[in-house]
Amino acid sequence: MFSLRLLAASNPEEIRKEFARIGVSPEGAEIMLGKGEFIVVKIGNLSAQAANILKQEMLAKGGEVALGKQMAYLGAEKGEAIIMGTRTQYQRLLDMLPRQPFGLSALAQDLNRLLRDLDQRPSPLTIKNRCFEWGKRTYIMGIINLTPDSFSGDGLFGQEHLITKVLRQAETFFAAGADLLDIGAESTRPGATPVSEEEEKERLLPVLEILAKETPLPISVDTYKPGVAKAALAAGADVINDIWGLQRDPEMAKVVAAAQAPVIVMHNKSTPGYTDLMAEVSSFLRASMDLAIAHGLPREKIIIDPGIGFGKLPEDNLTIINRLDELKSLGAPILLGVSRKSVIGHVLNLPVDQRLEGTSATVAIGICRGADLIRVHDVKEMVRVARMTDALVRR
Amino acid sequence: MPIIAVALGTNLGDREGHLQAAAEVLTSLLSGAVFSRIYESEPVGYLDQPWFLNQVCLGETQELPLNLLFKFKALEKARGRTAGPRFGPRPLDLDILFYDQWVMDSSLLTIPHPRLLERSFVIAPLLELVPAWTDPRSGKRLAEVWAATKDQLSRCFPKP
Repeated sequence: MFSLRLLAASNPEEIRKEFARIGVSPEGAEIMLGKGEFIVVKIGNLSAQAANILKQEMLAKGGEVALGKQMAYLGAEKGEAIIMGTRTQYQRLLDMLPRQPFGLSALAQDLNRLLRDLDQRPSPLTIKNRCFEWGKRTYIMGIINLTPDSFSGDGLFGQEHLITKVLRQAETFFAAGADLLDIGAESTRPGATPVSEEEEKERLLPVLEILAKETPLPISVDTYKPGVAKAALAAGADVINDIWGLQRDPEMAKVVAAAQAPVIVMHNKSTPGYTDLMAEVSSFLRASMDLAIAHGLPREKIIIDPGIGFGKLPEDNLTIINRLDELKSLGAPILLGVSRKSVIGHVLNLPVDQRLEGTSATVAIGICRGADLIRVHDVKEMVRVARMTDALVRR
Repeated sequence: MPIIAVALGTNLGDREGHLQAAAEVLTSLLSGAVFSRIYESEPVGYLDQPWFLNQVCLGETQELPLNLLFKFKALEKARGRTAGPRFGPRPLDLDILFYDQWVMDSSLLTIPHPRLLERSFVIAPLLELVPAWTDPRSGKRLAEVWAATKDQLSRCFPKP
């Protein structure tokens, strides 16, 4: 009769298209768009007084704030809350929050930033004359391993004509559509033996110098040692990819800031174990970003990586991939690296040389959930997966 | 404008005077404030204390409940209320019973009032003003709760 149907209009652009289709006036659309976007935000470390006021104000605007029993009745001093409402309700909340006591004006700033970052794509980044326009398409980073023990089975070290092989791989990656190369001389897989700074440099630098001259692609160097990073940047590296998010060695932030080099900060943890996984990953990455910014690196030169397989149980890794979009609130481009990792082996019970399909699934879902850059071994195949997924979700 | 219901209670000192003072403040704070009859009720919980006078006020307001709560607390204090046992004697007590259809659970304020449907001295006067009121939390109608439970609740009578 009324041909009722659900609209899969979950973001403002989709809602706008549906408005246009039924002829909503542009003025009306501007007023109503914010009412079609529903946002759920979790807050921690909120004082009980602040929680009371927040709850009242959001209720008055037609939204809601859920408080734990501890906060609502037992008078716990601090706790967590979940705010629910449309963007319009949040905006009306933000109109009054700055005038409130109990830390609510500081909360207003954070909330404002979160809402702003939510509908803004990260600023484009130019690396070695290539412009990464985040959101426009998915970018692909090809992995080149110089480690003798690399878990993914294509470690090139120790083979003859190492440099020739690396150059050939870089060329293949370029031809297959890679946008960036990631080169590392210390394996970071669980249980791998650490190498000394000297050894890492010896493996890396000669190859890097030549590769940087030969390949048109920007090169990222996978290291957490400031000495290696500094030498690599001097030898032609364009990006530093730090698996400890600049937090292992305080010198690291200084090195990247001094060179004004784009940096990938990854979440990591020595031993798995989380009370709130996504909250912990997110606050670690925020701390890494703050560290880089405090040292003078522009915000747009920071890429974040949740660190799949690093200090996480298989279940944690699956959760992060599926909830990757929560990290969008950090306002930085997101790198996802799941290629051939053990989480795929765990699910499919397959050895490392048979994880291509599993990797494809993580790439596709990762892109749906907001990944901007994908780090992979199988460039040709994953470029196809990314193009196909882009055609579906980036329109 | 949101509708608010406030319960007034007193069992110490000049009880009529306290109600009169509260009524004046509520009339100025709320628009179109109306009042139930005054009820006399036996103490609940803490029995060794004088009987109470109770009344309910209904009005409209632009203010949010916590802001009103703070004003009520100031009035209670002005009428000589000091910290004492939870259900103990007091010169003046003002409780927000409900605020529109809001459900708010927080450490400072819970609305509708968590014990609203268990208190004869609240239900009886409230029924005079809003007989059709339904509790948004439980979906129960005030009149039906009253019919089903009034015999088991504490004694309370309209003041002659």
